[in-house]
Amino acid sequence: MVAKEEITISEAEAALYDRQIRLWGLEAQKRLRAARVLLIGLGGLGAEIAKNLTLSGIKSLTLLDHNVAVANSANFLVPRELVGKNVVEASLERVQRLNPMVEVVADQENVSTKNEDFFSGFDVVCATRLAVEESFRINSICRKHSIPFYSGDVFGFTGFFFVDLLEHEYAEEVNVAAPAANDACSLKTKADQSETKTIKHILNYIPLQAAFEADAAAQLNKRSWQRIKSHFIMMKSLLMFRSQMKRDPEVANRQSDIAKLCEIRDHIQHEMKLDNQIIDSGAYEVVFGELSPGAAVVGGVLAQEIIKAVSHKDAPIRNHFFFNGATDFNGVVEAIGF
Amino acid sequence: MADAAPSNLGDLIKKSKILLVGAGGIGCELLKNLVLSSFNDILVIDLDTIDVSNLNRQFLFQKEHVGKSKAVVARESALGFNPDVTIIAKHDSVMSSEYNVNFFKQFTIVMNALDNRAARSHVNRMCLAANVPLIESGTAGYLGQVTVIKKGLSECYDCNPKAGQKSFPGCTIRNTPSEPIHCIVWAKHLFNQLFGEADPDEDVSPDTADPEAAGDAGSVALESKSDDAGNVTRTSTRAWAQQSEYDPSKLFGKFFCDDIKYLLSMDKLWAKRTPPNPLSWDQLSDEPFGNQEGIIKDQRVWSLSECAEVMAASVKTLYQQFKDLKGEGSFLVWDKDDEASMDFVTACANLRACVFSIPRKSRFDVKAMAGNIIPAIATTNAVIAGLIVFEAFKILEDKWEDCRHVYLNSKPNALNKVIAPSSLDSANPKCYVCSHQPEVTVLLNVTQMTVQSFEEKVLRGALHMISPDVMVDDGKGTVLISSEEGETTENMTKLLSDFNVSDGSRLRCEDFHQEYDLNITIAHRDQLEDNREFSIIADPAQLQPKAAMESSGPQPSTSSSSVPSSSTPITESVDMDDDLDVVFQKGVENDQSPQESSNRKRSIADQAETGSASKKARLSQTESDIIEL
Repeated sequence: MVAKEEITISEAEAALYDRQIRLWGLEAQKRLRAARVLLIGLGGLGAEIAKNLTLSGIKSLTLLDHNVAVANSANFLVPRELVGKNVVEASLERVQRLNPMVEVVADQENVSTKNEDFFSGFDVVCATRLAVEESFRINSICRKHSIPFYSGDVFGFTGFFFVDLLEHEYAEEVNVAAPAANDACSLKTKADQSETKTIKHILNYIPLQAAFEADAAAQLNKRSWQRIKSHFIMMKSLLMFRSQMKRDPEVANRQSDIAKLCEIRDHIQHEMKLDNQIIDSGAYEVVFGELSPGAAVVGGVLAQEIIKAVSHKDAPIRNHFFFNGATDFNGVVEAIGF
Repeated sequence: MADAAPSNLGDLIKKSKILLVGAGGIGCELLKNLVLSSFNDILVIDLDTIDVSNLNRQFLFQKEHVGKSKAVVARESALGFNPDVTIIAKHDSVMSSEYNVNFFKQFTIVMNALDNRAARSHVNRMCLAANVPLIESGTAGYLGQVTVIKKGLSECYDCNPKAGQKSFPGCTIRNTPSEPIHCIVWAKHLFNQLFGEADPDEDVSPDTADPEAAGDAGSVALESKSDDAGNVTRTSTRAWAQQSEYDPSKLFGKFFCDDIKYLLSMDKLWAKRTPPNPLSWDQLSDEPFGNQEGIIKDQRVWSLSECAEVMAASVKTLYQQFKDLKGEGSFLVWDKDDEASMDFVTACANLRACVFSIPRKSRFDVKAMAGNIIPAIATTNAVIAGLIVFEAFKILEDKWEDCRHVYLNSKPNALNKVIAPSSLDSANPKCYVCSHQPEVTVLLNVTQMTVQSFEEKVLRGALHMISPDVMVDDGKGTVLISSEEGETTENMTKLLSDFNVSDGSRLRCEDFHQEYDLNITIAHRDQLEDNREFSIIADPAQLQPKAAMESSGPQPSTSSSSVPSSSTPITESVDMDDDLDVVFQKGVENDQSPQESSNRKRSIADQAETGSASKKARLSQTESDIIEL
């Protein structure tokens, strides 16, 4: 939980953050200012999240990825001449330039070597490109230290993320009818504050593993399941592919990877005792690579969720977000596993 | 990325030519996405330069770029993502005559990333004329929208009337303000009267023609002469100020004391309202007001004595700037980012607020209201820019039936959607822009409207033409306005009635540049609602019969304190689509005025208004922000 110290915002910060302070308020900006975020995985999605969070004015952003930067990637933070270097090292300068006031830290190690002490130093952990089992591990550590956890991915035209905020308190502003503003100017300032009221809420979340292993078809009501079933099956089959094949679907193996995905899909459906085929093989045509607009959409929504969580302002998403830029173009939210 | 996409999308992308209009919040994100998606022939155009307040989201710019051209710097930064693409940058206005229909025809898709209606309306027309698909978009705060405009397939930008720009009746501003915004508008008008382009519609002195005060101007008025318009005869505000060389205490005395005393003499105005209190220059309180701790400096509300100090200091600075101006008839233009201009408006608005027992506001808040600032963040723009590219893919593949009007919500809607697509609406058969024979009716007083006003306020200001030719449809081909310079200069000061334009007259307007022909029917009215100069009705069926509008004598003022604040919802009947959940709020100003000509300035007396669409309208739902594309 980010501690809200009595930090003052400097004039330089006030000038830079003017347009966003006017949206979410000075209090929220101060809380952002104190937040230390760990971002695991710096592909296209990671780059978008890194950009969005750095611009928002968090205290520090640690970038953790042991992979090398590749060409033709949706990660726009890597200058062409640094392709082949470690991706975090290659991206560092451009991230820092986005906002000199944020402390940007590069960590080239493999996340699997990081232990509990490492994660406990952060206020938010956001994982991308991870095998789901590794995400389980990190989420458990985060839970132990009451750290909000996000895990997201973009596959071709489609993307999704999961969020676990444990027990999250937030404030929401609601409009109430404003009385006529005719008080003498020497009196109270409250006159126009009665236009909005602040209401506090608490939301409960569940661990990633519980959500991932949930029988969504059984738990959700009929309408919700109808709405998200194809997203859900898509997400699970992609993540299980990654776990089994130790890589993501790749263009070089297009046909055999599609076949493999279908196989995994069938397995999932069998386990869930679903008879109808939820998605056909054609749906897997568009899961290759990592499309820049997909990373932009998912990265934008995810980063804004992190900002909401850190600022404890406005209702956060609970607990899954799905987007498909090839089929219905819906960006849909669902609570799975409850 | 090209091979990741199925079918021949990669080829289509490579062969396409894109026009990106705007390199700001959406533009930066969009240019990045285009370059990363292998679009390799892009022209980006933006007239603006970089400001420090842009840097929280326009990530292609850094501090060292402040002051430079957005288009030029955006191009440089984007090339860093993919040096192989061709990007042309133009530091220019897309409304310039250089960008004609042939220019637009060279593009596969045009993508708007704009922040004002005039430019959107103009590009819309050019794309219709050139028959090039246009992707339109907008963001404000947490909300955003994307839609596709394609001639013959979907509605165009002007198919549905936009809520009129927020304006207030003159008497509210001059006599009976009841909200901070009224005081702020007054203060901006005062700036213009003293230092800027003086506009007769922006008078700051008491309005004796206020219908509410009718027949009762008190003893003070008996001593003054009154001209035809009911205004007390005097020298212009500026001339008067110059007599004392803009002495702040004299200015203060007039605006916050003497004029207020005059208002007090208009008894009827104060029968049901708290009467104003004249202020005294040397008796101002220095009592602090509101929160003083833990906030940004600008968020502290000034005490009254501070207001007077700041007013005096800013008047001195501005008067010096004014004197330093070169050229006859030149003037200062109010700019929210100019310190003295902003100080002046804040101080004067607050002094006036105090006079009228209205809560005072901090400079931070005044700046937002006076400068029409729209809060903006990176993430909303990032999502919208991504959605724009997805629409572009569909257009390239001719998948028109898949194109959508997409809404980004601040939280999940009733269907749990944060991103909610809905089908494109078909064109309005009576659209005053894209229908086969566009027509509108304009209500105005032919004996009061000059040809110049008609051109500036109606044709350019409200109807967004840029180089109109106007002929009276009188069988003689009388030319009212010619787009050729100098041809009709002598017509400008004449009244419409001088050309025998009367009730029912038809005008043929052509904008050659926009390839846009519009027939205008004039409906003469002696007097319009709220003392407006004109009103535009898109659907003639909406037109009230003349008899109902005119009555003997002036209408009672509708201004009073029931002038809606900026959160009045539209309550038109609605066709509620499952997916349709846009929040649409009447009258909130979300236009960034381009820093172009002074005709962009709006007087309080006119307001473009089109009749409510007979087809679907939007139901206002919950709260605050709107996007008006």
